[in-house]
Amino acid sequence: MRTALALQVATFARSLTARLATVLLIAFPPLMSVGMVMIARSADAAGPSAAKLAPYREGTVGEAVAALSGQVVSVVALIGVGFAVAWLVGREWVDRTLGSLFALPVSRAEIARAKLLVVGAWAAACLTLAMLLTAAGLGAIADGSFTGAVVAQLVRVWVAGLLMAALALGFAWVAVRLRGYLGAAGAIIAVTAASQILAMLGVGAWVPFIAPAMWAGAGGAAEAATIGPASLALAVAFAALAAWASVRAFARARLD
Amino acid sequence: MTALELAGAVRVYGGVRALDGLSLTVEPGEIHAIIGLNGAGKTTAMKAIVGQTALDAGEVRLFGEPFAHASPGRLARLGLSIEQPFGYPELTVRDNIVLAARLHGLDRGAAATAASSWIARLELEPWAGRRARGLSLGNRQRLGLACVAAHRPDLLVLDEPTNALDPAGVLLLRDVILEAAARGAGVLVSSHHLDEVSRIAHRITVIHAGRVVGALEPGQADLERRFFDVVRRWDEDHRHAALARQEAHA
Repeated sequence: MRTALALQVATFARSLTARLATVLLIAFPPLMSVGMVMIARSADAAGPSAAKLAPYREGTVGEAVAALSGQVVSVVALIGVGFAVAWLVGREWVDRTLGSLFALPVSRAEIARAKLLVVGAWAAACLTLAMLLTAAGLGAIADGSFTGAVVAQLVRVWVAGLLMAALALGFAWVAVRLRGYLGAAGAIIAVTAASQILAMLGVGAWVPFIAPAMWAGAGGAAEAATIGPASLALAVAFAALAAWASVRAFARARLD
Repeated sequence: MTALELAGAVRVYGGVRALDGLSLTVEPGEIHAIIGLNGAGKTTAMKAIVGQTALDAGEVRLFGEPFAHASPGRLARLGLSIEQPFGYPELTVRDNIVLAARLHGLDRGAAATAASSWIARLELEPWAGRRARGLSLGNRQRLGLACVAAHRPDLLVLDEPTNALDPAGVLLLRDVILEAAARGAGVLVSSHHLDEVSRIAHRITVIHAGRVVGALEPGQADLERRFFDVVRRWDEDHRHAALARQEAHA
């Protein structure tokens, strides 16, 4: 497993896609959640923008930042981690490197597991850093923001982000089946769009790609309250199933 | 023990029989060249040998054991380059060789030593720290050869290894193949460079229409003419099947 991990770390670390996704995952959540709340509460906010920013003026600064981070982190985790795993898997077809992974002492199942592990560990590190930066940004703009409720919400957002990242690993399966990363990129966009529609139809609690985001407050506090352990357990089970199917598909793929 | 045995291989794509009962062997220390026209089945046979394509019928045996059940230890004795040589474009030449050697079972230290040795041997020093994507096609092929051979495999499967090589590269490749065979490794190689094949191979097999249609004596002149004689004779004997095949390709 060590060799398979070494290969994946070496290629992933030098990937432009991974670098861009790293910036997206680490910088976007704190900039967006802290920045939007600051803008909403500044004296200059006026006109049509002011109406859109109105929700971010409700409650304390800490509550507003924590609530907004729930919306941002869920989407960013799905898209950023999805694109990263789609590249790491799909590139084997696009760059025609897959052929050299046959008939090796290191099995293709091991290589696939290493790909998911590397992306998973990278995603966890990025999201953890993003949440720490969000907390630091919040501390910088408003003293005394860290009430028990705000800290609990930030922790919940972090957990939801990790869950969305785990779900995004399943796009590896699409990359294998469609033999490249472009099809998987299309699937990420389609799932993101479909999630919006399904959430509006009120069935989000039982859709794995929506439940963690709703739980983090992406649809508001009332909808977050409707997400129970069963919905989250379903999301975890789906993520595990998708990861297992991805490894199996990669191990069985041929070059016909 | 036979290093490689492909027996009764059949592979059908749509209505086309890319492999039609093809059988061949490679003995330890033997350089076995397979030659044929484009579409004859050479690459498909090699892809079937290493599992890149699934056979509809037939069997592959690696060092006497079915390939499907080959242990990691046996697979570590194999080196292959089919269609695209090993090489991740974003990694340096040295990193590619080290990782290829590690994937074939060498530990980190042995892989680093092997990489340095092969970089020198294949005259890749000026590009050792450069990313593979910046290499010329010929140097990409040299890199691929280093990645295939750095772990000193007991069986080499090389598909068109001379494709983009300059004359100096062809000489280096020849040395690598001859040295491997001299230490007891079996080599299965396909090539369109028939002069080169005639010079180094111990056995030359003509593949046509997905099967073995003849053998040629190595080391003799005018291999091209003798090759076409074999192919033409087979086509005349199987004219109806040949016509059907042409229609299927059309």
